[in-house]
Parts: sequence; C-alpha cells; structure tokens
Amino acid sequence: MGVASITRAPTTETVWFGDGCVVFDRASNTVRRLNATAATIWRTLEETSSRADLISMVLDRTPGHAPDAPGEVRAFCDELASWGLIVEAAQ
Amino acid sequence: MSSSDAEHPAAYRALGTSFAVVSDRPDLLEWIDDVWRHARGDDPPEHTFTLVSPTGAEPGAHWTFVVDDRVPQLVPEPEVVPRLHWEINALARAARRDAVVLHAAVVELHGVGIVVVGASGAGKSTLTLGLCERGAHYLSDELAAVRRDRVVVDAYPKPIALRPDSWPLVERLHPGLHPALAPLLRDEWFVTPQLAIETTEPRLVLFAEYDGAQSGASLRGVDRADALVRVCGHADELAVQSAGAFTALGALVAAADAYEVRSSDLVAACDLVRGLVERVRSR
Repeated sequence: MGVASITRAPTTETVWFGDGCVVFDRASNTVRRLNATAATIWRTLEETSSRADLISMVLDRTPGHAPDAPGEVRAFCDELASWGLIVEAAQ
Repeated sequence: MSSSDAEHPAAYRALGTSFAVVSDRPDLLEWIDDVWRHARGDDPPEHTFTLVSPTGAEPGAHWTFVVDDRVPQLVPEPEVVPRLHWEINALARAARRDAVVLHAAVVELHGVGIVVVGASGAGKSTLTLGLCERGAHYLSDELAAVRRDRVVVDAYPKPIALRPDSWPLVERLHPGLHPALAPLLRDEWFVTPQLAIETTEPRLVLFAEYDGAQSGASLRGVDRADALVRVCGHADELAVQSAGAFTALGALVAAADAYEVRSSDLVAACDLVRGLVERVRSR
C-alpha cells in the first residue's frame, strides 16, 4: 500500500528566515528549526500533496543534487512525519 | 488595619491588570509603594492582596495572606514578599491576552530596546540593573509582553529582584531597610531603577548566560532561526495561546539582532551591550 498524499499538519505555523524556517506545532507544543533541504520540502508542500511529485519537485529545486538525494528527501519526509509535522494518508 | 488603608489602597498596574495591597503594617505598604512606584495607577484595582501580620511576636510566626476573596493562607514571614510578587506575576501573565508573554527582562538604552532572555539564575536581573545604572530606561526584569500586532514590548516595572549571589556585584545598592522590614526581605533585594518607560521597540535580543568559568564577558551572534527557537522556549506555553503568538515572536527576532552574552563580570557585560547598542544605532 503506497502513500497517496502528504500534507502539512494543520496544527503547524511557520516563520521563514532566508532559505530556512522554524515550525511550531500546536498539537505537540514543539518548535523545530528546519534546515535548507527540509525547508524546501516544507515549502513545496504548499504546492503538491503527492509524495512522488514532492520528491521530484524538491530535486528540481536542489541544483547539483547528489545521486542519493531522492533517498535523502524521502528520509527527511519520514523524519517530518515522525515529528508529527506532516500527515500521510495511505492509498 | 486602618479603615482608610482598606478603603483607599493605592493601585498598581501589572500588564493587563491592576492590584492593590492592604495590610496592618503601614511600613510594608510604604515600602511596596516605593518599589512599585513606576507602576502606580489611577484606576480601581482589579485584585487585592491582604497581608496581615502575626498577632504574637513568637519566632516563626506566620502571616495571613489573602488574594481577593480566596481562602486565607498562612505564609512564613520571609516568604510573604516573594509570594506577593509571585502572585502578581501570575496575575499579570494571565491578564495579557493581546500579547505574547516571555520570561525576559526589558530595558531601553539610547533608544534601542533590549530584551534579555535567560533561565532563572542566568543573570538577567543583574544585567538589567547594571544597564539601568548606566543610563538605560527600565521596563521589566521578569516579563516581556510582546504585542501581537506590531513589535512593541510593554512595561511591567516591578522592582528588580536580586538573589544573594548577585549582591556582591551591586553592593552599593543595598536597600538599607528599616530593621522592622528586614525579616520580610532577607532572601532577596528589591531595587527600582530611577528611569522607566512604558514601551519600547526591541532591536536587540540577548540570551544571558552566567559563566563562572570565564573571566570577563563574551558575545556570540545567534542567527534568527535559532533565536526564535530559543525565545519560544521562554514564552508562556504557545499551544494554549491563540493563533498568532508564534508569528509575533518571529516578528520580534526578525526585527532584532540576537546575541548570547556569557559573563561572570557585570561591568564587562554592560560594556559589551553598550557596544552592541552603538552598533545598532549607527546603522
């Protein structure tokens, strides 16, 4: 069973600083700083909720990315999900 | 307690609320009126603290401490004033719903608003007092109320509370209390700076850290994202505040430069902060 959609948790608020951001999650009352790659994922989530599209869009926006970048993006998504910042819905 | 004290107690502002203190000890009321002088207000108080001294002179006697019409509590003498301030802080925090309240000190030096964030014991109050001794205007040593609609901090000019480990640094400010009041104030000094203002626009956020291992003082720049994470750690629980609180803190750190100030030397720390203020002013 694959993941059909991936969205920011509705309980989150974001403050942007340059290419990074800080996210507050009201549900867990936690504040997390996202690095540049995680912040790109976070920004791209405004445009798509498809996990596959998200990964390709993030790679497009990461010039000169390494061959293992798709795996890295997936790992970041998993991490964001484990923090409760993104919500995944299975198909 | 005289009837005039009970009928016309002086009122003091505490962020979004106000309070009065009534007591059978006029010397205590006089002292409170002096140290809370920057917060005197004209409106009728929303809350009243009633402090009644022990009837006997036996050592270890307890005061009766009443907040509004709650159940009276018995409080040991040395804890009466700290308890009073704790209760006032709690009322102030609860009352200010149109602002995000940080556990932080606030001063303004040469027109530059400075928010000093730090854990308890980090030296916020001492640094605040040191800056006030060097011409800064005082707003608070305890709570910074950051408005949600724009980056402005409102004053909460309670007396600065100094613990014994700070006393050697500010020895000349010994309160010199009347002996009758000394038993009530033996664990903390309360000092009220000369100059105070009502609001400021913060342009510096300082993270104070007491560092006994180093001599002098040092500065380290903190980037805005880290500053926001750290500031949020000193805010009243964001999850129970209405939407916009986090964004307001984001606006605060976007408007201000942030530095960590580590020191064991008040004079050196104040010199560093004055240098930062000049840097901000020269831009």
